Amino acid sequence: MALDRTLPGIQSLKHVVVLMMENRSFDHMLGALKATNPNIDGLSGTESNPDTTGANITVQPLAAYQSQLDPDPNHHFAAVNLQIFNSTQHGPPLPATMQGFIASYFNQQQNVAHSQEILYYFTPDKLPVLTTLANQYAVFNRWFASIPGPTICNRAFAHYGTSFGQVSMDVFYEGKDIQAIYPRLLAAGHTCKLFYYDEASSTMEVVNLLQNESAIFGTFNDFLNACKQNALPDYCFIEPNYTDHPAPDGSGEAIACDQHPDHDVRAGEQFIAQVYNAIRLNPALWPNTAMLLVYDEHGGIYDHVPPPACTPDSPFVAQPADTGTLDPFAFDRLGVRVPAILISPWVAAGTVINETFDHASIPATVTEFLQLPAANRSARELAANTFLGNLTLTAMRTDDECPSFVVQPAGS
Amino acid sequence: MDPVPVPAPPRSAYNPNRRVSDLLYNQLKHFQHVELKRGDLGIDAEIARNIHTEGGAAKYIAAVTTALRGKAPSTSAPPAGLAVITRAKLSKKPPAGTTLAIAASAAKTTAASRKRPAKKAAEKPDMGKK
Repeated sequence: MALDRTLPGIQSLKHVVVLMMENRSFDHMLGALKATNPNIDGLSGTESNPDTTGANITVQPLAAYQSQLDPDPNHHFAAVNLQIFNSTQHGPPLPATMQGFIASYFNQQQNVAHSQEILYYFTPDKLPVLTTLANQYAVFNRWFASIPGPTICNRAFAHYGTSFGQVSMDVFYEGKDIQAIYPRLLAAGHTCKLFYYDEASSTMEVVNLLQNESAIFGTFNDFLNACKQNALPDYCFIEPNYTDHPAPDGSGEAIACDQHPDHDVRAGEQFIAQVYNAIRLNPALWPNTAMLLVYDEHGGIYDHVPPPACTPDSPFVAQPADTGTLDPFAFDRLGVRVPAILISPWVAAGTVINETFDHASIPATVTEFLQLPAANRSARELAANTFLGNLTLTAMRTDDECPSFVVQPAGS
Repeated sequence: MDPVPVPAPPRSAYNPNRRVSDLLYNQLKHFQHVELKRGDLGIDAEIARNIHTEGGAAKYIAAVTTALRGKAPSTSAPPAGLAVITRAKLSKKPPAGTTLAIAASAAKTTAASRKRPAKKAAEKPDMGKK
């Protein structure tokens, strides 16, 4: 369905901001919200997986901020295949039972008790930012990782609408004929930035974008300054801090805030809050900006919703040598579900969106909204649903109706 | 609507000596690829060698990123309220048992590497071990 440009929220819209976090599944972070909003397709508490002794293990609200998902749960293609299909060898036509998460995690340490923790999820009180945003804005019930695999190829879909046939982390796609959304925007006279946290964290977009389009990059400080100066680009993508490291300017020590295991989830909550506040607390930006908070993939962590089929990303096919299973992969089914929230004063509180999305929806949405001229785009991007049509309120929510956050300092 | 408080992680959550994850390992490989392809970006060999931990990897990534962007590292202070912990520097001793690919510039500049072929990429971190 074409974007309704008569919507007041669309007529006001000037900036689209995407923040992509790391490696947490929908049920793990938002599943508990089903209890307070039955429209959210979360957990009833009866969902389960068998462990390696044959015992039926149910999900538990016992997720911890840190030191629980160590070792990092395997989220490469073959492991995710096991998680979804309970098979290390084949995918469809086997049914997607979502019963292999404990078995997959057991493979890493052969510890029965520890393997069960892959089914743990957060109670809402432990995630005040994510919970508030999910309750106050629009939750996507059906936002999936673009492929059942790891970070870099999934993030590629957010930038390019494709991973150029890659299902692994070895995504070297120099010289390909599909451009990222950033040069497409620039060619059409729009502004865009890819903000990484700082130079020491940098970007996952090293090989192609950082070395060839270095001018599109900025730091998180640059993002905050752009917000303060009302100079936000038409489109920007924000990456969190991927490591614990001394701040490059010598001012202190920057804690990883990507929420990738085993980084403390609270640091990511603070980071999300800071991005949100920078927009929300600027009266010149808030009415004109839509923010998408999304996670790149599920990190090997349990979710109960089988990923659906999708338009194949023709002509790309990954061979068994790349998938690690006995099957090739035609990019014709999505990865596991991830948390995704659309944030705008033009979205009603408690909204739940049920259409299917994946990260190709990001360049598709930006292209549609800014009416970019025809370009070579992937089959997946061309087929992807777009999300700005959910800015449906006829009147903008008042200041009192929209939350804000107080980020408490370390050591408090 | 009252502002919602967002607690910070404890200081103990910060660990720059944490072994690099699979994600970071692959990011490092990409940086090595770019460093090799672009020629000598002037990366300090010592920095290029010490990439076993998050802190060490971050230094190398900062060096290459800065070189690619052609400017000095950001000198502006981090925003107020960010989880930046100011405390005594931690031990720089890398965790035992880690192996990682030696970065391109380190392989080039050691005397030994001038006499023998460049080292093979080290095996990936064992995801199953603590």
